[in-house]
Amino acid sequence: MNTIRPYLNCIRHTLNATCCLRNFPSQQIERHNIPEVEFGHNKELLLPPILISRTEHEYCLIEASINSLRFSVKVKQGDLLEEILTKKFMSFITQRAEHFWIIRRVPVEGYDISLLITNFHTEDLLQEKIVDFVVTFLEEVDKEINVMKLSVNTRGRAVATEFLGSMG
Amino acid sequence: MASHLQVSQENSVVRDTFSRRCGAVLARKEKGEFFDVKVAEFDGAYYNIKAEKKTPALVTLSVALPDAVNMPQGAAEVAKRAYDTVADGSVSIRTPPEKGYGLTLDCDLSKIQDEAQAALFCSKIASVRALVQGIPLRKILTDLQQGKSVEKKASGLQVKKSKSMYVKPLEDSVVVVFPVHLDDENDATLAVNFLQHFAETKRTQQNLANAPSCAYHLNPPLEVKEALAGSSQDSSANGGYMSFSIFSRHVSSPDKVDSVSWKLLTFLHFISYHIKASKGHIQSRMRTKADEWLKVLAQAKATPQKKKPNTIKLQG
Repeated sequence: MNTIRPYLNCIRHTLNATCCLRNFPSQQIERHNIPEVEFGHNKELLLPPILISRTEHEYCLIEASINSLRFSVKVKQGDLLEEILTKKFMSFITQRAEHFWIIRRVPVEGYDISLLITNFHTEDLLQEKIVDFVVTFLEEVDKEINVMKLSVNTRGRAVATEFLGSMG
Repeated sequence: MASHLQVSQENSVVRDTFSRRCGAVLARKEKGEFFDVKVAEFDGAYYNIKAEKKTPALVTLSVALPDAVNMPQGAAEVAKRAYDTVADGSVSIRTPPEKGYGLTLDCDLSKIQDEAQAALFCSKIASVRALVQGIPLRKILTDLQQGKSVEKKASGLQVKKSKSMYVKPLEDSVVVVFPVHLDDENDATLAVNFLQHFAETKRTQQNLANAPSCAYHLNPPLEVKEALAGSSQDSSANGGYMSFSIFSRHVSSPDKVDSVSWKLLTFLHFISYHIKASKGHIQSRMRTKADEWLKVLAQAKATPQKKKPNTIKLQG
């Protein structure tokens, strides 16, 4: 059985439950509407954060508030190369945050990538599909990094075979 | 075209330019075309090919080796001898060479008799860089081939600016060590992974049993530690050290000496080319994946139901 399934299922259910967002103007500043989870001005508007871990090195944090939800992911990084590939890949995605409406431009400290979903997103977009996107992303990111790593290794071997073969 | 997996000895621009000119001379055309071509090659080597309109048979080729690499001693004689064996008297060495170049060859194409000879000449003249830059390394390998190799101290051999290889002759073999240093730390990690698998291949693949043995070290190998100490970059290379042991069976003929010495000379370039290619591949994968994810996210955008406009079509 695929071991990632329970992890993803758990995330899917938790996200679905926490994604109940509503419009909520700031209580401190008049005519401002800010994501409460980012500012944390009012304790009563924040929900306790939820940490879901698959392993020690692979986990995600869901912080919810009345009008916004922050979702941060730590991707598995086994060695230096995976670390670099993850860093590259995540910064590649983050640079395109403009197009990926819900991606936060800077990840929360200690995580590789963060998403910020506000009530405006849930009004414009189908909530179910946003959650689908998050799950697809989590599902594929590991796979993709593995493939990239393999491609470096395979090239190393192919090049060596050619190089050494021609000298033998 | 040569395979992308190897660095060709010939510079294709030089070869094609010469072969066009040779064709014209063989066809006894009165006039050639004028040209003055400057060609850059990897590691910062340059070629300059010049010819006048009036004298179709005369072409001048100048070569500049990469920065910081001096023209090896005896380059002129070696070149002269190599080209005389193809077509006697076809090449004369100009002294001093043209400004900015290490070696200038005046080629007289009228000495070439037929097409087969022309093809050979063009291919030889296009690999002039391998011919002259490989002189020091070829000498060491030829000694090994003839059983004259004696154990010596390791010495550095500059390949390009701030890049060297280290050669240590032993009695039965020659150890060549390449410090791999990359400016970018991330690239260095990629290189480490790449080279580890490179070295592993030798151990795991049976058909490479006869190939030179190669090893990968993260720290400077003992054989060349002393020689490395001279350069701070080479004594702490972030991409590790690749070492090859060449035995006499790998250099059993002059052709093999040529090809092995060229492969070793271009090894660092070859590696950096493939590391760059790996990066490019990774980048393109990321792009594709990001596009795919964007499509998934785009599905979330609820498409508003198109309302049928309530209009009445008037007949007639």
